[in-house]
Amino acid sequence: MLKYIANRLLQIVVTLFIFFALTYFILDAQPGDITLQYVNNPKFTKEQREALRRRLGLDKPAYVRFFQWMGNTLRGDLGESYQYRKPVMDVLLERAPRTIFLFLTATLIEFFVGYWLGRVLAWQRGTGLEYGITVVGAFFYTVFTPWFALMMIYLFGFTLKWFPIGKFLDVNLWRTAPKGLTANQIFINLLVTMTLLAVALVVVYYLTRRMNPYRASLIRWSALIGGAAIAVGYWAASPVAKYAGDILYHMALPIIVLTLINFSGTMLLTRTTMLETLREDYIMAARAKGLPERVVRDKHAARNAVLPVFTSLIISLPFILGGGIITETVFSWEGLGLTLLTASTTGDIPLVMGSFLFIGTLALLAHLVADVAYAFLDPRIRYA
Amino acid sequence: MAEKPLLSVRNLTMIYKTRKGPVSAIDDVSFDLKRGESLGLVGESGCGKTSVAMALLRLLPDNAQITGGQILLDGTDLTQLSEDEMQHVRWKRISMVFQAAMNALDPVYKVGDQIIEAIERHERDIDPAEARRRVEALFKLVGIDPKMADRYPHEFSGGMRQRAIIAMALACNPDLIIADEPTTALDVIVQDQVLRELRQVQKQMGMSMIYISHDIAVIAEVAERIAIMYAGRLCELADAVEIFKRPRHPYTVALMSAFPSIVGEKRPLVALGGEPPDLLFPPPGCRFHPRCPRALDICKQQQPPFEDIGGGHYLACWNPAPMVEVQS
Repeated sequence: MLKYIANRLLQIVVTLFIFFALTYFILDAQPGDITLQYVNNPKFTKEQREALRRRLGLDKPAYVRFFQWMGNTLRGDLGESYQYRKPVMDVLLERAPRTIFLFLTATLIEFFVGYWLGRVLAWQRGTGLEYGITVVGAFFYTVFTPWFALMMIYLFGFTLKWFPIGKFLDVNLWRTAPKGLTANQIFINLLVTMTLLAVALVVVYYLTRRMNPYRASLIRWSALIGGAAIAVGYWAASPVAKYAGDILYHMALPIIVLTLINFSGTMLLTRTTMLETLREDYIMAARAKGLPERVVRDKHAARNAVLPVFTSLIISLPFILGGGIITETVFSWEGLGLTLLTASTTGDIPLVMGSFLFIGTLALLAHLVADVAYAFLDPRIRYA
Repeated sequence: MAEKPLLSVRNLTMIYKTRKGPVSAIDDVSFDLKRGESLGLVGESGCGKTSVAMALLRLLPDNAQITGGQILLDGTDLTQLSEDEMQHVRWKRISMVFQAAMNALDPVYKVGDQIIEAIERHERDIDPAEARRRVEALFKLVGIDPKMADRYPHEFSGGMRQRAIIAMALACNPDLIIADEPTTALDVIVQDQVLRELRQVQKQMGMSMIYISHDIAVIAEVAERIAIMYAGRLCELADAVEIFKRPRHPYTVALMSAFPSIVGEKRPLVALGGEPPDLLFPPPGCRFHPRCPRALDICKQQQPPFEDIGGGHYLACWNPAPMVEVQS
């Protein structure tokens, strides 16, 4: 196992290098550079623009700049963003938690809802309920995301005024915030809370896996509800409750939209794999053993059907980080996606490369973690 | 009156509803099974053997429907039980050794845990250590290293899996085991070992067994009585020796002559011409008549009754083969 992981890490390094080289040269192939934004500024002469290009090193050939970037990156220096005049690292550290918290929460909810519904669909095969949910699922699966997101904002944000229209916090509220409190601290603490909760739930799941399914299910649900209650209680009692609440309130609509758009993929996949598993002989054997239908469904059928669903979740991880561009744009959520978009359209090469470094590394590491976790989910898989 | 049978199937009739119409899969099947007795059920593929097994456990697909008859287990009619009551009959009273042992074990759970699952289902208050000890004893009984209980199904060979499935079927000490072609997937040597072990364990523990196979040679090894099934109906049922020595139904005779004998005289094998009927439109009268060399006019019109012709030899035929000893 250790050897396998070491091997994979080496592969990741090679993959990342190819990935960076490709993105760098594609980026460079775009016409124009950052200095073009001053072309209509009468105070900026042509000579001054040339001087700026020289100072930024844009006069050197692309491969020289690439290796320079590579060398600096290896030394831990990601350079300075042209637009923000700040180190790229600072920009990323500011933007990443927002994106990760939003999309991780949305993905977990989406996966959970999709898996749960898919299971029900397969079990209710041929009923009106199945047709109904499948049609609704197909609608959300195929709907044009920006249109749907805008419609949701129009309906719930503008007309009904249930949710704020954009951004991740209310500026007026945050003016009164105590000195030194930043939104990022809240984001990071929320992330830590969520991670702790997730780890606790995995531990509970693992400990109850051999128990009588009814008892296991009861313990798992109470752990989920209890854990969530403790987390909510902790945050409600903390002095920054008002500000955390504000952020969560702003997150609600994007999460609802993301869940609605993505749950049906998981749901339809779970339904299909579940229907396949239901034809397996071990399902017949489980029934023949006199097990109640719910145990046959949850302990045997769903447990085997989760394997491909889990794979699809992992494959979707990098898309979660990258594909968030549309969502972040529509909701003016200033996270990684939006940063990457503006950076690449303005030619802010260091910031683009920094974002890709972050997204690429995270995606590849997520794949590795997933592969290792898969070995625990499916005993037939062994890494030698 | 002889001792009361453990299982008494009375005029069992079952159809599969399909888009083209009802398929008559089991038609008017009756037989008794005494405690400790082993019955072989023989017939070609698609004749309804497995449907009978599934009907006994009430594990039929959604489109199947039992339209008539009774399945009496110690006097209780299983066709009348609720799904909930039926769950307590499954495995506790009637267990099953599956056809496809390769796939009858769930790949993501340890084999031992899957057996413990069955034990705990039917004996709620059993101590986990006690259940565990029973699994180890069962593994020893069927000839697997008890340590294998902590392994996953994919770590078992084909023969070991089949033995594990047998161990699982014995776990709750049922009154009746249904073995549905349990050895078809195994090579001949392992097949023979598994058969012997199954038969030995069944005798030792005093359980009844229904052994289903298309292979009459296999049946001969394990069954005391043999029932021959054709196109959803029983055509002959008698003691194993009787069936082999004095078959009366033309179909049974045809089956016997289609198998080579090692010890007997050399004789040409006779293959039965034609194909089994389409059960969507079963032939009127005796279902075997289109292929029967002895068919009379009455066979095309009237279904022959399934009756005792003496000494517990049941037969459904208007024109049975003469009583000649067939050498085998």
